[in-house]
Amino acid sequence: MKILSVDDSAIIRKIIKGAVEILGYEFLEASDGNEALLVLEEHFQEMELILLDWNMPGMSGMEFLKRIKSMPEYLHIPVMMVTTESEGNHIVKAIQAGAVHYMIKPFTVEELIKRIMECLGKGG
Amino acid sequence: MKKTGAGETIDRHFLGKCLSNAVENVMSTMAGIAISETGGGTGEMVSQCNQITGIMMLLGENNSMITISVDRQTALTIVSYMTGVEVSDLQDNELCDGVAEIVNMISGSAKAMLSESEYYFQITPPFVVVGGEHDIVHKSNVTRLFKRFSTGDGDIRLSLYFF
Repeated sequence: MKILSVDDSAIIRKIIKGAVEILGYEFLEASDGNEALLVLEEHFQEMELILLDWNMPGMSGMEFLKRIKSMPEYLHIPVMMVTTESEGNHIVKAIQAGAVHYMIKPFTVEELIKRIMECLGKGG
Repeated sequence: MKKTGAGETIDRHFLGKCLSNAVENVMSTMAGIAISETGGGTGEMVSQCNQITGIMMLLGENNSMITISVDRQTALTIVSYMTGVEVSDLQDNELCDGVAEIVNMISGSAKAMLSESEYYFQITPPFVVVGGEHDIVHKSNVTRLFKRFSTGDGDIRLSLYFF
């Protein structure tokens, strides 16, 4: 069972890694959408959840989200946005593009764990 | 960018207050550190001797720049608290990334607070200046507002430059 963190901040990925491993999942990471696609290609069958930043160099979070939601083999994977973008229109766009949850930075590890558990209960 | 009135400018002290709240929120939420504001003002600051500075631009009707400056030890402590990694195990690139992410979150939080008051701006990706003891120097027609915070063990210096 695997969870993928896609964020250009290594520090954020490290924080998320701690939470993911507390929950007993294998942690995978990518620093942008293009790298995430490569990770997903290899691990999609065991992928339980993707935690996705919005603003990243190269392929942005939204571009990545729209891309994977157009690919049948990845439709089963729930995606939660983890981002500083807090405006209502961003949240609407993400949900419309297929995200199942939305978490705004900054966050506590406790809140992160709670949201991850909620996402895992929702499915794709 | 305030949406009403040609020529109206953002209330700089209100922006400063939003940023202070954002600094406190980010530090307490991500690092579990309760900070206290210990000083501030406008205009020039004596030599700052910063060792790590995170910078973001706020672009709107009135452009401004936010800087968050700390010494290396304070940065190490904050990032250590954020990640649970011992200070001695933190790499330089992780330190810079941590400071960049902190200023990113502070700006994002401030932007959210300001949006409720109809002020709006875009924020640039953060970047970090590292090394030695550096100062941020500006032209004389730039207005500067600064605030100083204490973590208990070190200082955080927030500056806003209005162009």
